[in-house]
Formats: sequence, C-alpha cells, structure tokens
Amino acid sequence: MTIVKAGRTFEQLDSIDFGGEAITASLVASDGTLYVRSYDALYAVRAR
Amino acid sequence: MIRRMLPESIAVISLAASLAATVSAWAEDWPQWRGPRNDGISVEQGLPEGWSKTKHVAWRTPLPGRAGATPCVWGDRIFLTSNEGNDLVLLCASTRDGTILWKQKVCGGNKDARAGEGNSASPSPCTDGEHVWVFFGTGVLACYTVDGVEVWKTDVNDRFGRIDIQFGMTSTPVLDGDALYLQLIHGAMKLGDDTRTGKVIRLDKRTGKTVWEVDRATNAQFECKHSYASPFLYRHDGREFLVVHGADCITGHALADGRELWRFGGLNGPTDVNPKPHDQTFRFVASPACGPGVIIVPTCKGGPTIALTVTDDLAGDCTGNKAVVKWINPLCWPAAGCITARTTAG
Repeated sequence: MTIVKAGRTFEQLDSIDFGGEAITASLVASDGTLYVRSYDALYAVRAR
Repeated sequence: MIRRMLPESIAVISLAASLAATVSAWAEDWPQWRGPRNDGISVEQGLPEGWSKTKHVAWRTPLPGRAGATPCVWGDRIFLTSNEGNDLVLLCASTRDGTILWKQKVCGGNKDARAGEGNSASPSPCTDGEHVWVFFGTGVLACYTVDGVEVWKTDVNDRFGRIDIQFGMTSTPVLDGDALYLQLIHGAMKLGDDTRTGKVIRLDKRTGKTVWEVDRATNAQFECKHSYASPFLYRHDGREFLVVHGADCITGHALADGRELWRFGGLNGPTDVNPKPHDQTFRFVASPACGPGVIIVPTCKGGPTIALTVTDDLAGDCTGNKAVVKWINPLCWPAAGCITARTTAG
C-alpha cells in the first residue's frame, strides 16, 4: 500500500507492507480511524 | 474485484493530509464506497501516519472469506460483505473493538473470478444509519436493518434480465436520499450477436420497488458490452446526474427519470480520442471519478484517460465534441493509478 501526497509533484510519503496479504477493497476513513479490509481480516488503524 | 490497488484510497489519505490545515475537525461516517460526498475524499483529521500492519493497529478481526467490497461505517458500526465458503454474507462489526455483532447469510452461489482475483462479494454495501443495502455478483440485492433484520431481498436476474458478464457483476450501487441506483451493463459475448442488456435503474431504497429503469443502447460488440465499473453521482453547482460507464461510452442520466442527458462515446478506437485499433475485448474495469466541474473517464488496456468539463455543452451526444474535453492522457495503464494522479492534481 502506497501513500502519496496530494499535489502536482509526486511525493511518496509511505509504503506499507501487508506481508503478502491481498487487499482489493478501498480504504475507509471515519472518526479518526482508517479501516483496511484485506482478504484475511479487517483492521482498524488509529493514532490514539 | 478487479478494481485493483486502491485508487481512491490513496487519494483519500493524501487529500486528508493536505486538507487538514484548512478544514475544521469533522468526524464523519463513511456511508458508501465513495464516501459521504460521493467523491472518495475524506476530511478526517488526525489519521495515523507511519503505521504498519501492526503499528497503530487498534484491533484486527479475522474474516470468514474474501471480498473486494469496501466496508461502510455509521456511528459505532461497520458493515461489510464477504464470502463464507459458498455463502455470501453481511457482517456488522463494532468500531470500538472489532467484535462481530451479527452476521447474516444473504444468499449462496459465490463464484471466484480469474483464479481467485475476485469473487461475488465485490460490490460494496452502503448504509444510511437505519438500513444497510448489499448487492452481490450473483444478482441478489437486499436491504437489512442495521441490526441485521431482512427488510427486502430481490434478484436482479429475475427483474432486469439475466446477468451475462464474463467475471461476474461487480458494480456498486449508489445510495442517495430515497434512491438506490444500479448500473447493469453486460450482454452476450458472442461475435455477431447484437443483443445488449445495459440498464440503468432507480429503486426505492425502502421497498426495493422500481422507480424507473432505462435501456442504455450502445454499439458495443463482444466483450466491450461488459462493464465492471460502478456508477457515481455528480452533483455540483446546480447540476446533478448519474454517471454510467461502460460499453465504449460514458453517459449521464437524469435522477428523476433516468433519461440520458449526455453521452461521450468513441472511447474504443480508432477515434479522435483513442487512435488505437478497435479492441473487441475493451471491457471497462476502473470507474470514473469526479471533481467540481470535471469527470475523469478511464478506459482500459492501454487506452486513454479523458477529462470531461461539465458545462452546458455537456448535453446530448457529445462524441467527438472537443468543447467538452478538458484534456486527454493518451496512455493510461494501469488506469486506476492514472486517475488518482490526475484527480489529485486537480
């Protein structure tokens, strides 16, 4: 999974390795949390 | 399903980061695939940076099967679909700790596509906080309460024609007000067969009854009749319509009665916008995207990406009308990544 900055110049902010776990769903952002639906599991990612 | 590597998601995160300085704090639900404003953009603040498969992971809940379907979120509940063996299920999970609160089998008949690249749980569910709607590649469309009680269930094969598409129907319905919009673009993949079964449909979300259905006539041949894209709602500056992508063209439809307001065809070559030779397997997979005043139109298989300007000129058959073309990116492979780059660049 690659995170790029929004803008006219390409800037890659991060790259996240899911260790071969396939992801074909889109990410969801809600109430400070990112939800990642992989083929195996649902993840909640939050800073707090 | 064949919607591969998170085009919108990347835009979501990056736009959230860039907008964080200007948009006030706003914790919002994610009611459907394209988010609260149908544009795939989140204004969430405080999303984690520098996370990984383990870092900043509040919880991880194993799922019974695979899906390309994106979850939707309302309040403290997450709704998602999956296969579970041969079954297709709707699950509700708690945002707090990921506990599965309930699970309902919607139908059987799951089919894998392209060696497991996708399956029948590819269209994404949607919710309005009272109900959840699910659609599967099998053609079963259903409504549940947020507590998992079935309200209605129907099979689009029985009502709108048998689905005939090589890798299964993957189109995600659009929820807006009382309406649930569907695009079903498919047809016999047989040379010389001119039957086409593209339909655009509006249902009453409460009952599942048909408000309108319109045939979407095209000249598409063979596999070009098949679309894996999802419709989206364009609404900006007093203009609104449903955008439907597939079968060599993109069309805009009136929300009130489904009539075709505009069409941009010629996406399959050789044309002004696509000089490549005609491709009889020109099946659209990536969905269009929109911004204020612009619609980004992907194609496939090395074809162009085209930006259409939404003005009064976008009316009737606009095929070949340069006045509606903002720009053309002649090569777009993979299509999805191209859309993201162009969209976020404005």
